[in-house]
Amino acid sequence: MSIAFALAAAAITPAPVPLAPHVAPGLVTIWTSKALTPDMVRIAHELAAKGVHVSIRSAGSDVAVAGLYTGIADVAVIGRSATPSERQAFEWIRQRPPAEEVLMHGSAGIPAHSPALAILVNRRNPLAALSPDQLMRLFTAPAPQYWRDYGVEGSLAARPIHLHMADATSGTGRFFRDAALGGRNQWAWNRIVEHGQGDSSGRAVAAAIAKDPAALGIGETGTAKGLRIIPLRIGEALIAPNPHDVVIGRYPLSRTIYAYFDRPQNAAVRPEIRAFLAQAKDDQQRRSDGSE
Amino acid sequence: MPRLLVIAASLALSAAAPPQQLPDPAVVATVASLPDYIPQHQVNGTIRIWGHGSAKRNFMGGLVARWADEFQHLQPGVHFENHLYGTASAIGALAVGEADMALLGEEISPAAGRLFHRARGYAPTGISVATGSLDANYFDYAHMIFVRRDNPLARLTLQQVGAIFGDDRHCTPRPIRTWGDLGLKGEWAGKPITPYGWKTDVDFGLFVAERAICGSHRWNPAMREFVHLPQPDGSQYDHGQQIVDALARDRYGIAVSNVRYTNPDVRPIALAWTAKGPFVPATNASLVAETYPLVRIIPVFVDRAPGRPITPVVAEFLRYILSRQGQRALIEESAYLPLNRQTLLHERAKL
Repeated sequence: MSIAFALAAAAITPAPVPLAPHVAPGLVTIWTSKALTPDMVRIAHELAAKGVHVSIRSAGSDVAVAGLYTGIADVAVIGRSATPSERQAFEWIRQRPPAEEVLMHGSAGIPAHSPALAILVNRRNPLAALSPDQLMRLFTAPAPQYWRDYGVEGSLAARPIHLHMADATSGTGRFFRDAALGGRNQWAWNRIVEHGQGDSSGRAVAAAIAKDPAALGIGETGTAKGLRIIPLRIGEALIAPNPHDVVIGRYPLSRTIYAYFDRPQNAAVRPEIRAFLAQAKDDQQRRSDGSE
Repeated sequence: MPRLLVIAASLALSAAAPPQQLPDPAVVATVASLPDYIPQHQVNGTIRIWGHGSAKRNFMGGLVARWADEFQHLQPGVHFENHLYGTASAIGALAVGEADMALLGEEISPAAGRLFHRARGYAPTGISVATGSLDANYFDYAHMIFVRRDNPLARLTLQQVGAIFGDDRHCTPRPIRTWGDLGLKGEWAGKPITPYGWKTDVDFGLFVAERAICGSHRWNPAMREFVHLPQPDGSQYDHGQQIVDALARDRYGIAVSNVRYTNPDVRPIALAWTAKGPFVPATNASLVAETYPLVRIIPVFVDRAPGRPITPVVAEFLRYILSRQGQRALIEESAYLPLNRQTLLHERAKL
């Protein structure tokens, strides 16, 4: 029997077939999260006047990236950076990493709109500020941490610090780990309480801190009513998650909206995708004064 | 005769697969004990398979070609599409409707499970199809717990592994942090244990967390993590090799790695699911029997809506994979081990 016969008889190609993206001229397909959908709809209306039609699927960030690497979506717009596994999925199919562009900034504190993370304490806690090193030590140092170690005097000084945050594997938790802990996985679990995933975690963190003067949490300004928001001390400056410092990216715990798409080797990015990216950046520029 | 021709054809196609050792006689005997594939229905259609594989290293091509050819010989109305780009894209493709089967090279990750549920509103249905190998790269080798050769520790339960490597009080209320906590006496008793292992938030680490730490991400903060390191000569210093090499330099360490990376200064220890035992080393036989607790079980995932059957053509193909013929192809075309009879029958009952 010849190899030619064997190939003719094959029920399946012996190697994975190159994936052909679903392409429709004049149309750009955007998969995104529910929170970002209104922004995408606004951009779509502006693009329609220029002859580019936008199809939007409000799928959730992880599903949006799956839409991209399977070739259904042209662009995944998500309120976090792609995970290593998502980048791997794309790269193993296309033999190149996904192109990544910063599209817009997250909000200063609107829940579910990629809010900047805020360091929160009880209103009876006099903590003035934290440096990034102090923040990392709080969440990673093996030894117990006391309020006196962070300049707090009075009745709280000798009390151990209790920490609250969203589930460490959630998008919020992973962002905090990467932005504040340098990507480390060595957490001081014995003083950390996690409050689940999703939009409710910010409210749960705030509720826990409201009950405990010895607590410090990572939450959002939008759910911090009755709590104190602690600024980060960067050099001599105290920087809080206010709209201005979030929009210009000066506040270290502010989030970013990313667009992921395919940039083929030896070929230009499709004009519809380029038009969408340009329109989104123009939209962000015009709104950068912010209304928050 | 026609089947022999088809098998011969598929063997020719599998030239890119890694060379295989002769299967262990005990493994061959296990396969011989499995039920034959008997078609329940004549089916038609195309099966789009996504998952474990690589466009660069075609380690799955031979197995999947053999499965497809043998199945198509009995079910000529079935065609296949090969999208084996890697496990990372498989569940995503299933979730967005591009795949009919997601053949994973590891257990499903929590993130992949959430992705599918968000897209479809229910969980994906998993069917176990293979046992991971003892020590073959790309074939989901079992994990082993190593100590230095001069360490007197003889054995561990899975719960003790979790208490050493984890820090989740809901899973293991009393963490194990010194060798005295494990009953070692004398100079060992007060010495802290330093755990070494894979990066905790990616595939291998997620498996250990799922199996030994109740699925928690709360690892012992003292954990020393390792990732592959590219070398100046273009080679790679594997994470598993770095782990075992680091353990060899630390008398009071303990490590999770694989026997493919062992060295004369360390030894793997026997493990048991519970304190009742049996405490067994990782061998082909203990992996197939699933008496060794850090065995990998390889799944296929399909999209089955609640109350609905699996698509008939996919169910029929899975019925073939979960047969003597399908498992024989598995051991002849890959370094995977077969499912034991009890597990195989349990999985067939899901179809």
